[in-house]
Amino acid sequence: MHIQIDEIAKDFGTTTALHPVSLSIPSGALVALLGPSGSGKTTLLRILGGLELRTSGRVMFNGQDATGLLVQERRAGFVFQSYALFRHMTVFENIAYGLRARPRANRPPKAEIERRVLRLLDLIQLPQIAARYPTQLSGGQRQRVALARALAIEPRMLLLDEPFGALDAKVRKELCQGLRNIHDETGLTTVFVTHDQEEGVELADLVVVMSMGRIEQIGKPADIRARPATAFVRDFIRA
Amino acid sequence: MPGLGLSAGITFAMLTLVVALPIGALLWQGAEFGAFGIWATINRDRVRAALWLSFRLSFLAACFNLVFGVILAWVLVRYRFPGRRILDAAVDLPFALPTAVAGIALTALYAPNGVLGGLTSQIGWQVAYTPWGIWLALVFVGLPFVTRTVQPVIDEIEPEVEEASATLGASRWHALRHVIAPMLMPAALTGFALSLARAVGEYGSVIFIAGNIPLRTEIAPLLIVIQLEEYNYGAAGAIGLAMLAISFTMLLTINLIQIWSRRRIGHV
Repeated sequence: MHIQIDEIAKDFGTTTALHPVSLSIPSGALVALLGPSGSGKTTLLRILGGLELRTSGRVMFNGQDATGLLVQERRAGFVFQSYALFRHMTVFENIAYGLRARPRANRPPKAEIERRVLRLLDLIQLPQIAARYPTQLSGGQRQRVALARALAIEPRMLLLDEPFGALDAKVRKELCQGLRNIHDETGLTTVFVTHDQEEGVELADLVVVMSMGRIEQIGKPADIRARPATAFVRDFIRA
Repeated sequence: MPGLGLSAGITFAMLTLVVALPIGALLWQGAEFGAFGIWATINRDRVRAALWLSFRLSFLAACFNLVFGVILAWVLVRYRFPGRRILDAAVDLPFALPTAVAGIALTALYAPNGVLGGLTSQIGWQVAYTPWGIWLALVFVGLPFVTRTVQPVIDEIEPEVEEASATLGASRWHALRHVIAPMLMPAALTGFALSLARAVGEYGSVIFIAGNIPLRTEIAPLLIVIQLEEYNYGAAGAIGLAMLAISFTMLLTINLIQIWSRRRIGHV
């Protein structure tokens, strides 16, 4: 799905988190929002997901105004930094949650839900853990379960907030590849937030560098590396 | 394990002195009185009415506290408003206030010539000297138990969990039923049991507002005191034993429900 961000701004009280920013994300792209903490990247992601209300501006999904859509209506698969798994539910129940929460009229039958959950467990390459609880999983496994849970609702886009933030280097590398594969397989427009320039540059098709609530540069990873637009981008990419 | 002998010794000594000995004395008293005597005491109309009144109203008060205490805890943890800290501190007042003071204050408010009692009697609803008054006093003394057991659990639920539920398309109501309620259930049940236990044994705050009319507003603990004042230790012990047995059964049931719910909703 094509995402168009039109002069979106956000204030929290007297502090400005986002100055009006505009960005066009082509359908099927894998985009990194890259910047230090406080750069407004997470705020922008949360506005896309409907978790934060914008102060001004518009968001368009496939050319249609989506600014006023409720979180529940956006069908955005969201992966939280803390994963936010339901710890009193098994992995199976976590992944099935979105499907079971649908109103009866468009809820898939039980067998269909089970089939889809098992297929997603295959996709994240953890077919054996359906009966386990989140507390019994490693950090990397939790992240993949959170991803499967977000994919279960057949989202129109995938939004990830620092998806690899809390993991060690080796697991991070594996999961980066995993996300890349899942993106290529599903063809979903994917936006992820990161403060790690290496991660952003390696994984994404398109990198958006942000600082102090403004977009500093938008471009392909190679272009940003070769031709940083501002002093900030040059320093941040080198760091 | 180092220190096991010492700490186990202290624990058992304290438990024996503080819990086991008084209960043992009560059982001993009952044994001396004999099964026939116990039954003859309990099976009187006045005693049965008092036991039924005490346990029924304690249960109803604990049910009210379960709902309202959870809501209060939720508001105190999740919302920021002026006076929140004062309200938070005020929750503990029923713990600290001498129960007789609470009872007299409630009576003064709700008696037919009191500020609130005057209003309610205008619509034909009398609170003081009726079971309503007893219920009110029991709600007052039991409320902090639920709020204080549930509060830290709510504090630990990350707001992201609710956001995750919303991004998956679930309504607020669905999240409340399937995400929040199961997480709060064990703590809420513990608070319910504590509130219930406290209400069953409550004496000071109730006797002023109850009016103590035999067969109608006379609670079981008061009946025990009346028997003691008449040097009727056997009958007092018999009523005490009946209360002990009923309380034990109720708390056991709540514990079983907790075990069942923990098994059903898994690791919390």
